[in-house]
Amino acid sequence: MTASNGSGVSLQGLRKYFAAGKRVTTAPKRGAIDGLDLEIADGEFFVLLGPSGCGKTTTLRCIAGLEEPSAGRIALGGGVVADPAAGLFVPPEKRAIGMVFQSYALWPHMSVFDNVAYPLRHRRKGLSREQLAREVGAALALVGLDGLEGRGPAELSGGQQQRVALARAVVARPSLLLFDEPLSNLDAQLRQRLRQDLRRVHEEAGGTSIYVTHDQAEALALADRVAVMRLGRLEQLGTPTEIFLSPATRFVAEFVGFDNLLPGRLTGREGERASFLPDGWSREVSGRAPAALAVGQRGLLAFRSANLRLHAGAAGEGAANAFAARAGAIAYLGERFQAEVAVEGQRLLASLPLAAWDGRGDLHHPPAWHEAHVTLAPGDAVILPAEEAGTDSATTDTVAAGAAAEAV
Amino acid sequence: MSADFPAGALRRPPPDFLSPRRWPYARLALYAALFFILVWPVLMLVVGSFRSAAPGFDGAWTLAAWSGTFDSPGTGRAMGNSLVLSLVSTLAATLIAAGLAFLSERTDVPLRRGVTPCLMLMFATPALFYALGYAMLGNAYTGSANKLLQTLFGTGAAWFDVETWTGLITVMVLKKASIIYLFLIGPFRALDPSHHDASLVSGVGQLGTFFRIDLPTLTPAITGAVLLGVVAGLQAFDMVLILGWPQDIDVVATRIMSFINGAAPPDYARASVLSIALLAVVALLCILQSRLLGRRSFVTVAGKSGGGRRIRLGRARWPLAALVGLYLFLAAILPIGSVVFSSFQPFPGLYEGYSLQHYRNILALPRVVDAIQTTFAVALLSGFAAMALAVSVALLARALPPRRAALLRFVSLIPLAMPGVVTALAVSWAVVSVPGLKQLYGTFWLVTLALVVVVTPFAIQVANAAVTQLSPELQEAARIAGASPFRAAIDVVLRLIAPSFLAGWFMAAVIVSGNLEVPLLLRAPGLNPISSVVYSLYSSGDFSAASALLVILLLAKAAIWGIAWAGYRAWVAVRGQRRRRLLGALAGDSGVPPSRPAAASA
Repeated sequence: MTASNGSGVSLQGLRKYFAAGKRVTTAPKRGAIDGLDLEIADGEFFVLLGPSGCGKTTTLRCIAGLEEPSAGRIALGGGVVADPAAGLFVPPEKRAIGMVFQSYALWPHMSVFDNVAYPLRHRRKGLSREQLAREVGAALALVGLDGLEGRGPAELSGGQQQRVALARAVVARPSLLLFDEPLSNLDAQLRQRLRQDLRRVHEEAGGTSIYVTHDQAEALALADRVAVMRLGRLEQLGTPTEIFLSPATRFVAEFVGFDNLLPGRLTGREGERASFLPDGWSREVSGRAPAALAVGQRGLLAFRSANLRLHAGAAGEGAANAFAARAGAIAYLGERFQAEVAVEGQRLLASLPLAAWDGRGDLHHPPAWHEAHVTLAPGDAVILPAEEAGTDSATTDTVAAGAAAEAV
Repeated sequence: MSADFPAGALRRPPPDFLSPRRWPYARLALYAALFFILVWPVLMLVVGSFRSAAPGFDGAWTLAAWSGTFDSPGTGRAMGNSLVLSLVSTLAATLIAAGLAFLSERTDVPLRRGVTPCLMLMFATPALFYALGYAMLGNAYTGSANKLLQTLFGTGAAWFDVETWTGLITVMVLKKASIIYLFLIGPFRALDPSHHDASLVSGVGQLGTFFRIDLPTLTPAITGAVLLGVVAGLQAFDMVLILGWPQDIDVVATRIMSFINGAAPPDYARASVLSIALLAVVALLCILQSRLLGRRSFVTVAGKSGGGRRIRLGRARWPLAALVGLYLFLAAILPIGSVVFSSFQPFPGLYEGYSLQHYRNILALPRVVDAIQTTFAVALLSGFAAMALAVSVALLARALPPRRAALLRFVSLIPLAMPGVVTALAVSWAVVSVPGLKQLYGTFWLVTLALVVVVTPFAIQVANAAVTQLSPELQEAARIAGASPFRAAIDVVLRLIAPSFLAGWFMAAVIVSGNLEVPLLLRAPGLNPISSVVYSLYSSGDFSAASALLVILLLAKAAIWGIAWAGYRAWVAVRGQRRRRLLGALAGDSGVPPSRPAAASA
């Protein structure tokens, strides 16, 4: 498979409104896009991540040409394909793309061979029968399905159907591949296996891939860069490591599994290191803060329960980020215990390693320690800017569901 | 171990109140009733073809009918005409219906919101009404369309004559397209948009995708529609009678009628032979269709729907909208308007002096008043009987093993294969063959029974749709909450079915009131409903009086529907008020407002 030529994607000021009946509302509705700017590099595996209704699928469909944007510009490989202000819209059949749909969308009245050959027949006319058969065979071999050309889609399992859809998307050697939550209809084990195949096909095809998902684990495993979206806007853009370890907003933090969030004030900083006083606490916590946050500003301290360790006994003198704690209910999570703790009068979630259990007492009740303390490495505590008033808290339900799905 | 069971406990849980196991005699009675009205008439039709006299009269066994019927040139011609008419009209109607369905469901053509309501109106208009409307519009002598064009363009001769082959086929196509459209609209809506999108991103444009992807997926639905159209075409009666007979165009159904009403003495045997031939052809077509489609199963995996995005037509919008508008005008507005218009004309062909005179006149005629009463009674009774039977069958079929349920469903569709004349004939033979029922012949009850048979397949579709929505869990939940089986049946099943029952009753009554064939065949004094009075007014040249009576029928249907709808809204409002008062009382008692918002009225 040869490398593509100039297949970067550029979105400038992308907006999409859905009409409510006959009126077009300017408030972003579910699935609408509200001013999106993205530059996706040639050959990148780019993931759009977010809860349902955040506009990621709409964005993908605008890039594919299956939806017309209300405003903004979309350019594929340097050529503008959509610009409502200039009255320009290139229909999808004229854009050199391949797409894998969530429901596979295999045509039931055609065999596997005809399904995969379809884009070849219409995008690269004039191929002889042998050439066609060779290309189709190569595409099927790439996804591990050689020998199944004669079957009908109804005779295949879900995973096989998805592979056929993938073969169909790459067979005409498009420079841009689009994926619309392709793995969400499959069970967890199959998802793991197909994930690796997707990445492999992307490497071998050599083009750009844009992948839409609500599953955080998929995004982290596959992406070169991730764009987290919410209510039609970009929340954060970065590498998987940046998103996972250094979320920029409360929404992203909750989405990637930060389950302790404390509002407070930034009290001092040296470079990246900063000290933060949560509301109602008597001592400061040291953590990491982005440069944009100034001393004295309000902010939010975020850390994962996996990083807040519970220990027996009193905190040692001079230990950084060590606080007295009282342990509450314990839950068994498989690779560790999660404990509810009371620190400085507030309820937090902390972790106990499996080794800490000595078998005394009930699994669900706190260990009978006279004293306990929690420790938190400063590098694991992220300080975020405070949210504006009137943040939509309805999304926390979907966010919590996404985080919970990932935690299991 | 012995447990203390509460009083009233049984050793085994009783079947639910409506389950067939609980009512074995009722189940047998239902089977017997179905057999008598659906299967027995066909059997007796076959027997009747070997009899030399009318049903109920003494006669001999004879093979004369079988040998003679197919030899006569009239019959051969009628069969040929039926075939040609049916095939040509179905082909054209399917093309129009598929185009309309595609435009109204998948594109943004203007006027698309009016298409389905208009075609439902056409479907509900009886063929008699339709045929008369066109006859008055386009006949060569007094047709209003002809007169209009002559005055506008000043020519002497008539522009067109609807009472010809071309006219007949055109009118049939227009009406048939509405049936096929309503049949196709469901499958069109169910088309998975991602299949369409996948083709677009593979490099094929909108039109190519329609022909390569959408149409093939719809093949089973379209084949079913074509079959339906061909069967309906073979059974055509009303339109041929009104538009075709002046030109001696005869089809199978009208030939059967003329064997009985047009020969002296009436030749029931030949009528029966021809009926059986028709049934055989239809049965063959149905077997052919199930063989053709049985092999290929187009199972589509339902995924996330992309909202069914509509195709933007661009420059083609207005020409296509004009075509859609033209069809709606020709097929719906024109015939209905024509009937209403001529009811105000003093004479057909006279274009001044409009008045309500015809309405006054016909309402003064005793036979018209009789007809209105008869129609009302027959429609009410047969509608109710058909729906009651249909609901019982649907509830029964729920509990049967699949093969028997399929057999039941097949049997219930038998009347679809028979035109009204054949049903009337078969029911006549069936009734006189049972000793004791013989005196029903020639009475009101025979007509009612025949109409029940005619409308049963339709009623069963409505009942099935209503009953399949009832999951058994609904009754089980009532039982767990403490309701007895009887209460669970009443509170859950009957109350949930009630709206569909009433709607089905009304629609069946509408179909029955527009039926011409059955009362025409089973002529008897004092037995003529509105449809046969309209026909006799028309045949004696009194077009305007016929139109007036048709308009009265239409208004009566609309009035009943209006009353039913208003009654439903009133009931919903009263129920909402009762609920609010109850919730208010609950809040008052505890001082805490209920957790559900009280404004949840329907």
